[in-house]
Amino acid sequence: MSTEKSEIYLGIDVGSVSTKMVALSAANLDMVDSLYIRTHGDSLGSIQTVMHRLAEMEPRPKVKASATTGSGRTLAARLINAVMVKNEITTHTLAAVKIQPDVRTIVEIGGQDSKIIIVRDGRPVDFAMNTVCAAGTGSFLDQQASRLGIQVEDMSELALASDNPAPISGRCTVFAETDMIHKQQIGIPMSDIVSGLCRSLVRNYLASVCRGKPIIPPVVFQGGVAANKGIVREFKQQTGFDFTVSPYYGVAGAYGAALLASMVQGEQREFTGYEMLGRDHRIDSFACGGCEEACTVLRLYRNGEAISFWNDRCGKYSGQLSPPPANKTQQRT
Amino acid sequence: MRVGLPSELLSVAWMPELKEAISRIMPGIVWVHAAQGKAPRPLFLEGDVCYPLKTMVGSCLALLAEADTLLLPRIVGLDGFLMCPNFRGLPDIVALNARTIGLPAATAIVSVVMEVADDRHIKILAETAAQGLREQCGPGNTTVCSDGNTCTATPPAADAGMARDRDISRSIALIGHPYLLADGRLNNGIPDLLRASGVDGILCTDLPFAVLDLLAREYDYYAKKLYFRSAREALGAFLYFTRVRQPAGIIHLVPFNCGVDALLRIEIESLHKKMPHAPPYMVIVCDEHTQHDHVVTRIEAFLDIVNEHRKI
Repeated sequence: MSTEKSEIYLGIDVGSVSTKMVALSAANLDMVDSLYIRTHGDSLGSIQTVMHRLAEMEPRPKVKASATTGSGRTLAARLINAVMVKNEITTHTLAAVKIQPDVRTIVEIGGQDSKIIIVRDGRPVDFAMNTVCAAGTGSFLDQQASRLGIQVEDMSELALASDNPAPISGRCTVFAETDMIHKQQIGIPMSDIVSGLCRSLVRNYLASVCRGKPIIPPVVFQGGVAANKGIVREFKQQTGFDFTVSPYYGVAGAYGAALLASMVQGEQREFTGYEMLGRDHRIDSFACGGCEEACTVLRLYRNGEAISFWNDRCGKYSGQLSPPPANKTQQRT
Repeated sequence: MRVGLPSELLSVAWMPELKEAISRIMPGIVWVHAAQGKAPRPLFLEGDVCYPLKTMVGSCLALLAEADTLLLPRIVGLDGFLMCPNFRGLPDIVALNARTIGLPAATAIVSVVMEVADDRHIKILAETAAQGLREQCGPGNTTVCSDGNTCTATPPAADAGMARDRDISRSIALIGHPYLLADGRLNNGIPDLLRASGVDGILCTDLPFAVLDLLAREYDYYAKKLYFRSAREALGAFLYFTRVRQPAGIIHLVPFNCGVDALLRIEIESLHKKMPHAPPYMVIVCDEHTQHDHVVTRIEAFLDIVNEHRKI
């Protein structure tokens, strides 16, 4: 067993549905480990699972720099003392450009978010995301798979088995369910219904998320939904372009975050991810009465002591115990 | 005499001038712009109207309890262009809400039709409004005043932030309806987010309407002239910030996809696509965001794009 410590750059993407981790070798940026787990509404627990995975590697790697992304990025950053906290648009762009430098369009469909990013010369120039409706996202497929009594992972092969997708409304999950019940009742095969669902999701994505933003090849497809070959086929049919599924589609956000961590120069922060494993962490919340915003302020405890606050819009609390601001570091360009 | 005038209306063009002209005629007026008490919830069902209107009606209902009279002009047209019909119907909407939710009818609403294009119109309108206010409070009551409340919203002075010598090349321009730009409840705190990110935000309300109108005229060859004032403001501001003086980026705030906003956002996006050297542009539909984090993500990503654009 080697005792020499390897150095890694760590990226963590805490999403609403899944939590992803990518470790890149600090020597050559090769991916040395990755993890995709369901968040199940427990961001803290999923981050601890990620840390356990890292800690159990032999030899335990030394984290040279870390970055977080996703909707739970602030919590993750506070727990592991990440050097960078970045939005998902930027991290997904970095990941796609790394695997396909001439990419011009990135399609990303995750659990609750779906986005299109327009890239020119390796730089993001425009983007759009879904808003309050999750009809064009992975949750839509999850919900409908559950409704049909199948695993979401099985939808891919089922969809490909159909040459005659059933027309299903993709505008809203409620309408989709009504359509599916009807289709089942009249005896349409399951594969045609699943294929129809894939078609409706893509139609919804193009109408509601892209909203006229041009899809220009090369297109890179990322996010958990990229695992569904029925969706990939539909994208090709509806746009006329080939969609390159990223080899890291499930962990692309974390991959981009790890790449970002590798670009950070200047002050480095002490990684506290391993420390958190031996300690008791919990989160509670309280409503601030300071103004009419009535922010739900989140409070992180370590061994019973409050160590961090966030989610207050004015910074009244988060300014007190938070780690030093990240702008002391510089991003290498 | 305590006259209620909701702070949201002070962001509308010509309203500060009207208020000042009325104050000259009736120096005893104490203006109340924000109620101390909690605003009653208007009757609108979810999604019936835009959030700005809901907020404004809520403010008016709260003011009914704290003012002697409410002044709510029916704003039909400004500078020769129409306003959203909701402004025209505001006094009726407020009265209907007050009656239905059972607010005491003691406070009267004075409404005057407002079609203003110059100072002369303001003078005439102020006299009409003053007459209406006098009739409501009765002879001899026009000088009743107390010092409890003062103006809480200061309308931006024309040209105040956009002096010609000001370098805006590193700033982010915010375009949209004045009441949206002025109210943090409506704009999701975007100006504050920009400030917190160390970015200087500039508002299209700092530009004179005459300048914006002149630029918007170029697009009057359409089958329908852009007859809504707010449409001319937004289009003019977009053209100003892409042709006359370029900031680092432009964010277009839209209350929700309704009427002229729905059309104009498509039009402006289309114009932006055709401009090879325009700064990055993003639309945020304020009513579509229930989570502040979603807005933060968009602003962060947009600022990243702006930073990348500056390197080119």
